[in-house]
Amino acid sequence: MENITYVGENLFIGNLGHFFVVLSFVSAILSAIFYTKAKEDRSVDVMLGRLFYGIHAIAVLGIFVTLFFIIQRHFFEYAYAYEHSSKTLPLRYMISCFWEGQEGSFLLWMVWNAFLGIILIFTAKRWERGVVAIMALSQVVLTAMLLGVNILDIYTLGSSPFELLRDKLQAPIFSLPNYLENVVDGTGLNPLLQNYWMVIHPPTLFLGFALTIVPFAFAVTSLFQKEYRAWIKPALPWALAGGMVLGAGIIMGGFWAYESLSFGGYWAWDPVENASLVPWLLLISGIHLMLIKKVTNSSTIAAYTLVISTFIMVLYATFLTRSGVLGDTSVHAFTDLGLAGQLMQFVVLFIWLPIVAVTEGARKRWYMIIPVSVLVLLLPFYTKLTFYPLLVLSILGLIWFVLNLNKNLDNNASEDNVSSREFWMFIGSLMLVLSAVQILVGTSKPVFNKIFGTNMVPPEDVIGYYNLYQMPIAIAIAVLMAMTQFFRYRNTPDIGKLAKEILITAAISVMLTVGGIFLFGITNPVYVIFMLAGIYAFFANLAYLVFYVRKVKLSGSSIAHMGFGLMLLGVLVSSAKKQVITADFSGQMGNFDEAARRENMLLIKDEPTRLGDFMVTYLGDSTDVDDIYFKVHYKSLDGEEEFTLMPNTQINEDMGGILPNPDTRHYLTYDVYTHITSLPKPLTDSIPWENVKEYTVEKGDSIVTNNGTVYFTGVEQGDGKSIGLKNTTLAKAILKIKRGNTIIDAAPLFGINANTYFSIREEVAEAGLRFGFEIRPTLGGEPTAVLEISETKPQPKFIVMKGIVFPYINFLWLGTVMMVLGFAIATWNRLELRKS
Amino acid sequence: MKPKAIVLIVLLAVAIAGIMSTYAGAEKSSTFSEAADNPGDTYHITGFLVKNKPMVYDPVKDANYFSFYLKDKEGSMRKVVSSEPKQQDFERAESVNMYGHIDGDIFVATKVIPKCPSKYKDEQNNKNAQASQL
Repeated sequence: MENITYVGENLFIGNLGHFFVVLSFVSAILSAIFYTKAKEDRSVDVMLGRLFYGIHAIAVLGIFVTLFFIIQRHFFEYAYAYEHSSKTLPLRYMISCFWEGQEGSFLLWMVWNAFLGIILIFTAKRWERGVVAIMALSQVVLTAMLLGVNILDIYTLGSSPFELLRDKLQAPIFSLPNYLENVVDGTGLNPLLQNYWMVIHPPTLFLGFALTIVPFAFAVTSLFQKEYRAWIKPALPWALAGGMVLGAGIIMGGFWAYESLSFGGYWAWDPVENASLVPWLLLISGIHLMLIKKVTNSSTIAAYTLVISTFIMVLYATFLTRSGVLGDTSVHAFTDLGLAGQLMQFVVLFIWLPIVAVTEGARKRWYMIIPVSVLVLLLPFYTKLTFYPLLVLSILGLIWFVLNLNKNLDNNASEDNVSSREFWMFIGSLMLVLSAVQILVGTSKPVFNKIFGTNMVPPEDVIGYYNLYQMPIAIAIAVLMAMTQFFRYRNTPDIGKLAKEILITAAISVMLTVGGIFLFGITNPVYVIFMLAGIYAFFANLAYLVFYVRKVKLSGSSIAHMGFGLMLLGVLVSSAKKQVITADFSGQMGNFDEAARRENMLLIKDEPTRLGDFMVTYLGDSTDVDDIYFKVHYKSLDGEEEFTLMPNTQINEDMGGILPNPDTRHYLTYDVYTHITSLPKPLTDSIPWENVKEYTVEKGDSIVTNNGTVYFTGVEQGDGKSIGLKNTTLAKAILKIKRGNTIIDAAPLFGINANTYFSIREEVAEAGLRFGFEIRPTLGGEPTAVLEISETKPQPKFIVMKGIVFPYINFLWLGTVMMVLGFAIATWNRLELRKS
Repeated sequence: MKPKAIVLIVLLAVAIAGIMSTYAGAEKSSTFSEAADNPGDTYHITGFLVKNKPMVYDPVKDANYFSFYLKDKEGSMRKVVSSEPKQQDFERAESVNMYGHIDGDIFVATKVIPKCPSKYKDEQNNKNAQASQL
């Protein structure tokens, strides 16, 4: 194979891409070295560090543009383009190809990181040396994932997105010099990713992930410099921006799931969802602890630990989802690209960094260099699971970190005052950690199985399982969120006033909750408490906003907290009161006696069925390229509302035949959600056609069959081009079939060209009829039209669907928007404060 | 003791109790014979589709009734009924994961998860499939 000169390949562009990868790798290393070496802020070393970081950023952009060009120009000689795109892919989804593959995802992360690093160069001032050095270091590790360089034939470092198809796959075709002529099209993008939300959700999420490194970098730099408080001020806006972007990214994923996946909800506690939620919870906890540290100079260790763990959890989440360790427990899980070892190195390296930072003495540097060298040398020998012993070691390292840091701090043990705001904020932060830990433990089950050989399976009711633990935690967090704003930092002087504020807001919230019980019809006591907590969080923060907050830029926290309260309310009402309107309570059960969930409803075409408060009719379907759309008409019983939903199924052989997508009608107070769960079997050759008879027909004739009356209304002439045949004339018989009150059209074809003639039959499954058409010349007379009719058992046209009404789901979306807005205001406020 | 310390200890205890109960109470992969010992209790069973036995899903008759036969890891076979529609291409499933309980002779599945040979789950298959397409 080696001596073949291939025809038609565009090798230059791939080489250019490779060059950019290597350039970005080398320049990131140089930037990290010069920044670390720099002793002063305005030294030559800092200038060199900046220069190389700039080169690095340009190179990263170069990789991105090159890969995009390859996808956009359909260079299928590159494996990435072949595997993740196709010629029919619309331009707007080409960007999504980046996150279908792992290399592209890492690339996206690198692009954000490079961008953030540039901002830091301009804004971090005296923190620049440490912070950008850490950014550069993380870029070294990330770029290494794209290198695809083989070292001494024993180990391949990274996986290149510019790998050629013929290098990646072994196939006989690659012995042909002109193999490219046969690679007509790529295998295409996963249809689930071909969705508007999937264009913006992943980049938002990755920006959120990328932002978590910035507070981490400030924290670690401050540890090296022993400035345990000053780092908070510049790091806080970054942390808040991270909370905003990551939170928005997570909820966009939920919205995508709700709009286009058919599990009937926005959150399924899927491992990949969890893996992004855990860092967010820790980040929020960290933000509160940073605030405590900033204002009262206490909670130092907790603030550091949380800011560092947030970033570590981002890395752990990446490992969990990208190493293949989750197996088939998640719909998202990626397969292993052989990057597990490198991911592991990434995690361990960044756990090591803060530990080195708090280690005293001259040998400090060796603590850094020796373990890292060992890690690099061991790289080829990692298996996925050696990660976990390393993680245990790292946790021990964290304890070592806490003890050392404690020693370094001047013991400023401020007294815990129960009447201080920071005390309750601290408790709230711990609650967030508790929530994160529970999710982490539940999600790591498959990992636990692999290490200890157990065979635990995910719980039957995953959502119920997590809700059971998360609900009490959420209630506690909401209540703390409601009360804590009324406390003052350090000490609340007027306890009487405080008690009054807390109790009055609580009393009003109870009254609102009573109203809510009637409005939403929620009576389950646990749900009522949950509702009260959500309303309390919303209302108490509204009261605080009205009575205490005098400036718009100080309103961030109140608005974010109100948003969270509203979200809880939306989650509660939309899930507790969701109504499966297709559920069959007629008592007509199957062969098993229990009241099983009978949530699927058969709708026969044109037969209205009552579902909940609607009369629902399936009107028919239409096909658009790879999608079949089903027209489902809803009319409310009172006649006020009328709409048509178009749930569809994508025909996709790779994904198991059909892939249903729901359609939803949004109202202010409720959503009506519909998706297809089953379809009639397509007609196959095995269907027995009986009573095959031929009729000589003339325009206007009617034929009575067992399955209805067929009217022959005439013949239309057509061109063979319409069915892809050249120089052919077509005759189309226009038929109407009358069955009961319905009329169905059919049009069998007869074609003729210079050499031959043929007929194309049409099958009408719902009528159980098949038609053939032929025009026969007769001796000396007009040609006659002959209709062949065959019969079988009619197969009614139907769909099986699920319909769900989600009440008040808009509270959830509105709450999310408020929370994001709150974060935005808080970020802006902290940016202003930083300037002063 | 400082209030913060008390809260910390309580939360730590809650966390440990939570982890223990998560792992100790976790459902485990099981077999028909174990499930038959406790009719009505939920079990998770992995098995293989018995392809020469009838598979019934006739939505016109009942859109919420699907039955098939499954052999578990020990090789014992049972009829399984589910109230969810048959998934398209269920016949192709390599193995089936399900949750449910024994009721008389049949296994009533509340959740059926077929494991299909799929493009997006198995890179090796994927490569072979792609190579054969070429």
